[in-house]
Amino acid sequence: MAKNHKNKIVMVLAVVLLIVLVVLSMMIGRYNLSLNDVMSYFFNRATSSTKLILKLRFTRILAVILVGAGLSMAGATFQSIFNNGLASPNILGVATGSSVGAAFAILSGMPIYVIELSAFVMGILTMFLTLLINHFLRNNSGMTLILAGIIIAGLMQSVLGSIKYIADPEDQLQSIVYWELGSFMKVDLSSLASVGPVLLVGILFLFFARWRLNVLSLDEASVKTIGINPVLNRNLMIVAATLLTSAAVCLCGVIGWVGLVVPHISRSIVGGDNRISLPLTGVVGSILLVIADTLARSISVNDIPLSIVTGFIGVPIFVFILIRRKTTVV
Amino acid sequence: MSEIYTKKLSFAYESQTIIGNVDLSIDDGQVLVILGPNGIGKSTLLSCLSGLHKSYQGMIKLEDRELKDISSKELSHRLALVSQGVNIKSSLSLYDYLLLGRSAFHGIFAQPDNSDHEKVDQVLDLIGLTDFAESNVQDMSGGQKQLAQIGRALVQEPHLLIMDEPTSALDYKNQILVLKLIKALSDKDISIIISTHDPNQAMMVGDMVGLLIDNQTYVQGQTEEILTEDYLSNLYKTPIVSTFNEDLQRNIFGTRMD
Repeated sequence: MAKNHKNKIVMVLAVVLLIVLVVLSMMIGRYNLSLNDVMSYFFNRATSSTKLILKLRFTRILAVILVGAGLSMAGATFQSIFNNGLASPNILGVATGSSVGAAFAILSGMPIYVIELSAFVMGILTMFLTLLINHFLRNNSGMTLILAGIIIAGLMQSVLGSIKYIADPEDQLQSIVYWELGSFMKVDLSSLASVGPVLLVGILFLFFARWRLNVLSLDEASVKTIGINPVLNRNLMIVAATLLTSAAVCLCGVIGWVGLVVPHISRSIVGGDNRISLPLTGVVGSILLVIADTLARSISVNDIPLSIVTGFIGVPIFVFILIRRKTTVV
Repeated sequence: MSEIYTKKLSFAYESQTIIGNVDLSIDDGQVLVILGPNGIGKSTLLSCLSGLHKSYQGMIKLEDRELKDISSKELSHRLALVSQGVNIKSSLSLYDYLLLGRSAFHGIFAQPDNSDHEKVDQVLDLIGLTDFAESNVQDMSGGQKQLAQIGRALVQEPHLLIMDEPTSALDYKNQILVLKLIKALSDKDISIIISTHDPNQAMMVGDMVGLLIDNQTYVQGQTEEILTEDYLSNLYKTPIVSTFNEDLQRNIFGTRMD
């Protein structure tokens, strides 16, 4: 069909754009390098000084690609299963919950894998609390879920505030503040090696389950009579999306807007079928975050927190999409 | 053979009996129309028959097996439900929306295959919406949306199709479209149970008619034997008269306004 053909072209273009951006991003930085330098790095012929710089940049870009894809796909998953265009890891409180878990583990001086686990457990707990409040509000409009998310995110913000209050201002406080606005500055090979696989598993799970996501956007009775257990399937998707969110938080802190905006961008290009829009969401998420992180690390002498950049990019795009779309979001 | 039958079926919610003493049966390829006033439990009955409420009392046998013992996966290959007035809130195209029904045949990590696509093409043709395959299902008219829902149920290849008030939100032309589709499906040997408020519709498509009179009384029989002035007046607690129309070759029901 013509539609399939168009979708394939869009997907290929997006991947090509991502590759071009990765190469550009490796060239740009405090020390600008040439295309030749970058190419010689990939063919293992770089000089030792440029090799060191490029290795650092490439590690960071790999993390950015995984987090960009992971957060966007998590957002798309939440939007699908709750059939709600405003659902995202940040708005549902999952991201803040995860950073509470991470901050708590940092405060206790735990190693990275415990930080990861703690962030995941708190992410799931936050999601559960949000759904619980939504349940008690006994109203099936999409707005109550968002309201529940805002309430719980507010609660988690206070918990995070308390942790910051008792944290050691010399060392721990700085680390925790770093989580709040997101940055890839501290990502190195060892943190990528421990968190990257988790992100990859979550991304692959959602990628392969993407058709099932379409079914889960139906009402519960319809899902049941199609022979699918709606509760089990939704929970599996929630766990995968929460895993992605908390892993991203462990690696680089809380990054705003990506999970909310990117699914809308890809849906506005290829439509709402997750079989096509979910993979595109992943690639577009990576593209957007590679751009944002490259800006964050190159427009001033110091790294700018990433959420500042994603906010400036994401908000105008989101407003533009909302104005253009014909149907309601919630 | 009976496609589905019940014996002393009842269902209670929070210790309040919604339906009771329902002895219902339908044979292969028949259309059973359920009539009853608002809030009498028609939707509950249809939900029980669809396997959505498994905490029912009494017996429901689908193809001679107790419904409770059939897994939802297996059930989805035998029967399909078109829920009442569900406002389709989906950004999918009609084609992709129908394809959802094929999930019944696949696991969580599967993608639709060629046989799924063929089935969707067949159903699109059957519901007469082939030209709208690429349209966004959310932007379609009320009648088309209803047909889309029926289509999504049909791609499950059910032997039994259960529809809760499939015509209630439609204008007259679209009501007739859906009723004609019901007739056509019954000719293809699909058994159909629908609920409606309109005895005329029951007359048009029903082989059998069931009346949910109160939460302890269900009466079922051949269409002509049940759709009488007495039964209907008693059912709706309002005087209903019928008259035979030569052109249509069937009874028409109405009420005097004085």
